[in-house]
Amino acid sequence: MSLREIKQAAQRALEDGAPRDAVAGEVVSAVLAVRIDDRQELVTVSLAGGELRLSSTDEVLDSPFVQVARAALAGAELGDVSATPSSSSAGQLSVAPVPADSMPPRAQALTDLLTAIVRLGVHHAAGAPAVVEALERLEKEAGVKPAVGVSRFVGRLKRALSRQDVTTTARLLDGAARLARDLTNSSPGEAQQRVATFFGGQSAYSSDPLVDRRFFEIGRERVAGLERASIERRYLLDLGDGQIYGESLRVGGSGSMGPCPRILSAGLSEVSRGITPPAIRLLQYVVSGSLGTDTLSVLGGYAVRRFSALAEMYRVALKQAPGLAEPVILIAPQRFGGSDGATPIDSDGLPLPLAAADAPGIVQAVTPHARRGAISLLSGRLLDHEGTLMLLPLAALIDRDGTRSWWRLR
Amino acid sequence: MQEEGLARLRRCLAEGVAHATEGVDVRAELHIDPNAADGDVARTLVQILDAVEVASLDLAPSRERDTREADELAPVAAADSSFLGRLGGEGDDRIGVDEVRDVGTLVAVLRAGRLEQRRAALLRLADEMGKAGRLAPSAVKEAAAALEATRDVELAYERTLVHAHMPGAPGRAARAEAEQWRRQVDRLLPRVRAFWDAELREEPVSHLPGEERARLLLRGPDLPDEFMAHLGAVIEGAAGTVDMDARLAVLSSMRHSADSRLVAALITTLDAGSAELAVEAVRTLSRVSDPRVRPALLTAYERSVVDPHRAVLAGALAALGDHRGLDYVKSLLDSDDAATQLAALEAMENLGAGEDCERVTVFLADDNPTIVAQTVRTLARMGDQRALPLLAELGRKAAVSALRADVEDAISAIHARLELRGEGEQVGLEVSLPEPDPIVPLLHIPALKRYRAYALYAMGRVWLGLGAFRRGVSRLERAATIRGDWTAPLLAIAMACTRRKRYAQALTVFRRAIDVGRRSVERNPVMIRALSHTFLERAEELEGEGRREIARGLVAEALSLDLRRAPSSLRFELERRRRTLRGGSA
Repeated sequence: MSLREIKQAAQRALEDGAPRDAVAGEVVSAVLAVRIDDRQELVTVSLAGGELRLSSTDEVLDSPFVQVARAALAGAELGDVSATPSSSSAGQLSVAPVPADSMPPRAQALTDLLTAIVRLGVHHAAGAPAVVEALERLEKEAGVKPAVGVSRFVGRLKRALSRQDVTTTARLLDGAARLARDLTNSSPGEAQQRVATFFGGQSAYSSDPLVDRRFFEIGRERVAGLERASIERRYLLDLGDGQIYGESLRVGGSGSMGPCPRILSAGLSEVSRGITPPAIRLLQYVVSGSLGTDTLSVLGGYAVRRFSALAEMYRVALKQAPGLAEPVILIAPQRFGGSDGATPIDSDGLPLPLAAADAPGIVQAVTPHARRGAISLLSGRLLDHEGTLMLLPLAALIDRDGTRSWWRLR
Repeated sequence: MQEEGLARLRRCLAEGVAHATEGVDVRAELHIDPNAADGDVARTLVQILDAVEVASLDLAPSRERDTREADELAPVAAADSSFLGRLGGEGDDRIGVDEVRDVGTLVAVLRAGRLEQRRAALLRLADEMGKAGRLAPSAVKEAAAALEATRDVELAYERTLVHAHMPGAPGRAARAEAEQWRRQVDRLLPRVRAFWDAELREEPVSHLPGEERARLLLRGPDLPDEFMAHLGAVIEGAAGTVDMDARLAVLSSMRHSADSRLVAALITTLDAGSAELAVEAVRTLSRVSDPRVRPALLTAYERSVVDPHRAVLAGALAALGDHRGLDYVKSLLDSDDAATQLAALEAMENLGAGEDCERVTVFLADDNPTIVAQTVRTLARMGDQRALPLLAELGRKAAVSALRADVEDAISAIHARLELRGEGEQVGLEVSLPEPDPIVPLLHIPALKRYRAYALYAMGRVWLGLGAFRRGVSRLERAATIRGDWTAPLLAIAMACTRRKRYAQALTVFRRAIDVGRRSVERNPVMIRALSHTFLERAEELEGEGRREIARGLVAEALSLDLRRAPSSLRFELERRRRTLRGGSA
């Protein structure tokens, strides 16, 4: 099928009497199902500032599926591959199913959970016996002490279901489907690390450890896992290259010690890059609570100053691991503005709203300092709602009576 | 067309493909095989919906704020249209504390207001003191007397700030104390760093003697950021070797002096700490003025199921202006459990209003002295004049100095509240509290014996001054034997023992001095300070030896005295130690 054929079919439909201007609106994105040999992936197409943006569910930048989609959109003919342009409501989509009996038990548990929720619907799934049973099975597959990854996934899913949040549930379930596929295909590399990060295991961490690094803890939070506030996360920024890592531990579990903020001089640490932020495990480290003005200046050098790059970074992170990614950033707003005077705004005038609904107290606490321009750096976790990217603040560098101090907010 | 299709798919996920969602055929919508398994349908559905959502994510100048509604419930305000109700509150009819210029009114607010109002009134009074030239001399005198008389432990930090700016001896003493505190911090900070460098095994703050720790943490807001972050790590359990008791000791020592830098660690402790730590975190949080506190307390209140803990949460919310827990807490007053009653009475300090007075006054007749003492404090905060005669009656009968002191403070607070409401004492409800146990008449001792006793006393002081402890004590003992009505020789011995850290001996002599003249001991700030210090140190010694029950008895004995003239840090530490030794949540 070519785009020309689709266009012709649409024109015929209009000529046959289909309403032309029934509803005012515009197409903002389209999803194409692209098949190469027996494998099929979805390619999302959108325009940003006149530039074509393509991304594929195979998580590979400019993958063959993206190339086929781009070629199809441009009207080029390709030899031995058939481009199947489609949207959610047009075109042909066929999914190559994975035979249930060939699935590993963990993949089966994830698939069963996905199926149970989609069958019942997000609005009816919370507390439904089938979903509870599927969750229990997943927890059982996760072992006696479930890894932080699966624990966090279940925590987020339960919260999304209780709030009847269709978007977040779809994302988490997409992540579950992706993990099930990773488990079934035994994919190497990041996919393997992703699975290990989710279910736990030594293979979660790459064989290439970090040696002699200095980290600055830019934020700390307790998040829901299998139980409320059962996971503690510390976000560490590498003072050498600006990369942000996440150290996650179960409450009562082992992890690094120290206050927030702190500087960690880590002799040896392991990293898992399957998710964003990459998971870190500190094996040898020394803690210091003395920050020093030099460190704060170095920190400023790594802060994001133009927010336009954040959306793409966030999309890439979600595509990499939809059910696990919770990107954390450090920003240096040029100013604060908006109706409440507390929205970070970059040099291009682009705002990055604060997630007030998720942390009303934190945003209120930040607001007076933001209004008087006393905040120079702000760290936080990115999240989204109805297409808008937002920041859940974790900490801020503020000016208090002429002294700069790192203020932990969460 | 596409948007409609997506909306249908979103509806399918929301309502479930098993439900007949308005005749939507999800397989047809997805254009997949009509016989495709549910698992395949589910995978395709979430894949498409997520892909579209992710693709649409962006930032735009028009999207500048979070459009979602927060889940948080609005505060349930108490209807109080009086001056106090509007003082420092919200809304158009609020009256700012900085607008109040009358010194008498500020003094009354200092006695009867909510914590926030009392803090503001204290600082405002200090402001007025600074304008001495513009104030009438009588007003300056009144303000100075009020500041001097303020012994509220909750205001201890603010008082240090105010006193440091006062002229004369109190100012000099406060400045010297501040300097001493700075030196203590300078000494401790390198030890904190050494602890994190693993050069020091024991966490330095939790291992300080109780009084020293209380004095250090009383000025929490003045502590450097690094020190505060360290305390946060200790409280939330991120300091490795620090055990639960040590965490509790540090946390409870910060009850009145935490600031916004510690809020995150306190909320973490509230969310994930043990029950004991969580309750202490609630009490500390309720005294911090920070917008993050109320949502955290509210969430904890909504999920809490243990009555005493929930009552403390309700009281903490009320301290922040949210009275949603009033009916619940009132229902707990009928409980048979003493811990629940105690927590409910504590919560009523912030929740209770005039109409609840009779529900509370019945506890003045309770057999449990802890409940009676808490009831007095609650009635002081509720400020209803119907409690006055009952309090006066209790004060007249009180055999324990501390209870009598509480009653005096409560009556004073209620009078101040009446003044702020523009009311006078109701006819028939006037109260008068006679002077406590009048000074014991001097024994009839011949003048020669008196002279001899004085000479021995003087010699004893000289020997002690020269370091001859035994000789000095011997002379002083003889002086005390000759004059059985004289506390001075006994107090001199006790002070000498305290200075030499012989707390067990000092304790015995202090007890003898109290037997001889309780009032002269309680009304002497130097003596009451030494006495409290001795009781506290001895209790810590005994606790260290594992004799907790005896330690607990000692602390209770010290707290039965009128300690209003003792330093805030000592009173605070004694109270804190009583709570920890009792091991309860109160």
